[in-house]
Amino acid sequence: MLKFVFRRIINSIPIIILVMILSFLIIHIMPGDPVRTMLGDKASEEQIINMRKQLNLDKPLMKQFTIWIKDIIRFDFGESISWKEPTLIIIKERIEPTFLLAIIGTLLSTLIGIPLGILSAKQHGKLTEKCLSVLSLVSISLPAFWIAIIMIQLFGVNIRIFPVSGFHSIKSVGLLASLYELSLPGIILGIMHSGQIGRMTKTSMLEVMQQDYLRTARAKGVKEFYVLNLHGLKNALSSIVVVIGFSFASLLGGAIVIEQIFNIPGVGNLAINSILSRDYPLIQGILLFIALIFILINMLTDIICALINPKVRYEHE
Amino acid sequence: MSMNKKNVNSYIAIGIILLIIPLILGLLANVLSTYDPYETDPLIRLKSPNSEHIMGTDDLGRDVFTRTLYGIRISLYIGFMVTFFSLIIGVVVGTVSAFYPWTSRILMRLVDGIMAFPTIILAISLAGILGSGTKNIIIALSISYFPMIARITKNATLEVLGMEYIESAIALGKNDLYIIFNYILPNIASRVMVQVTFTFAMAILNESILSFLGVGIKVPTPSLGGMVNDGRNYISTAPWIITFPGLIISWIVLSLNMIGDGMRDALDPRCKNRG
Repeated sequence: MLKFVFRRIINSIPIIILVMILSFLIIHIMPGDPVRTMLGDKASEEQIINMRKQLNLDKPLMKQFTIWIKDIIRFDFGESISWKEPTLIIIKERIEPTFLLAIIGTLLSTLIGIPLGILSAKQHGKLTEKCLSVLSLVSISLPAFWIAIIMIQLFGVNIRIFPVSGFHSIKSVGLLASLYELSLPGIILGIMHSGQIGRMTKTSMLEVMQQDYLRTARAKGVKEFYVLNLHGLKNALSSIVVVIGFSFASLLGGAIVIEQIFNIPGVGNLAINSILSRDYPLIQGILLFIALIFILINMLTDIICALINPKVRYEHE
Repeated sequence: MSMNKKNVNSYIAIGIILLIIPLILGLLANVLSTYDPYETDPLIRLKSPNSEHIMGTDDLGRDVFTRTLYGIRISLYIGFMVTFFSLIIGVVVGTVSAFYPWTSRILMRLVDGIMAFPTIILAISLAGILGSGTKNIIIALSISYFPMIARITKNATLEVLGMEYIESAIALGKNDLYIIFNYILPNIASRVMVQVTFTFAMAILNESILSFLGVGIKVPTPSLGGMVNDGRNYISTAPWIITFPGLIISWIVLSLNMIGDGMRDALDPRCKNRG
């Protein structure tokens, strides 16, 4: 197992380097001069030269790249132009609501998705399964921003049960109050992601249900309930864990639209604002940060899968 | 099993029928509506749906039905172009890196690198950096979506390459291009097409997100996502402004997802032997 973990970490090094290269290059693909775009038309020639110097854009590309890599290794992701603060500090201040939202969303979507997925695998070919599969298709096809706006109108304005805007940290208002502020966006994310988790659960359960060991279990006289939920689910679990991990990662990477609509000061909101205000060093830093988180969660997911299912471990060795 | 097959095909059929409606609406936008999508008229602002304006008017007095039609047109156009470019780039990258393993070190690494970013974040950043406008959205979304097609193409090609008929073709002295066009592409086409359909759906959904957030299609050009954003502040007084564009986005994406799902189930041997 340790060998697997070690190998998995080593394997992710090239991808981490690649992500560093790509987030470095992204600022260089833009048409025109980034400094001029950032400062606007009114900027003096002197300001432009100064900023170019500050961002190291006056140096040759290779030199810029080595500086970028060196800084990252020292956990310096650059400095925001509009905030005049290091990117990592700005992200740190924004991570709490995003993290809470991702947990609520993942928890809810798992709690809804897995049982419904098992149910539709059990009812395969019957009406229940067809209804559920159409529902899950609808849930992955709806635009989140549209649903969110309608939900705010319904449950925040017409029937006032949920708060619809803003977020205060756990430190200032306490855990329950913070969670309450995130309840409606969390429920929306949970329901929308549950479709994907349900679909994956169904597919892997169906696959597992054809395996001989389930027949053996039945022949042994194991009750049908335990056959499915114990023997079956356990084997289907590793592919479900992958989806849950993916869903958590993409929520952490920013439920961008939802954060924007609910005015939650999270990482997704920060990403949009940095793009709209053309704060290129901040965009670069956020992109890199989110990609690294994505890679880290993928790695953890794989390790959890290997823990659940020894087969995964052996396939890699 | 026959039951199953019927179910699978009905998905594709329903999806195609559902898709034809917005397709016609978008293509015939200028025939179906005589209004100008840009013409503002302060006298008729925020009018509810009536016989003259069947979907009502927005805060500037523009006809919502007309703007929705042109919005569908541009959404479908962007979706199609993104799918087209992702397909071409993805298939070339995928087959080349499967056929010539040494190229895979560079090509597939690039693909892995792009896929390490969450697609929506990557698309928004690219669109933000390149600047708004139809062309840039197409570029941003194509960069975000071709890697998935490349990866699927590569895996499918590797599977086909292990087949005996490829060995015999090589033994017969057929050149690489001949093998790719006559043996590889026909055999991987169906698997790639499933992903292409999902790409089409995701491209349309994400274009609407970009336009909603203000990094997509520039105002006042009508776009479905942009219309939802415009109508946000008027939802209590004029809910029709956001209702129709949102419904249409869901409609198009759902029909494409249905086709994709139906195709995948029809192809997947695991689904065929089931039950």
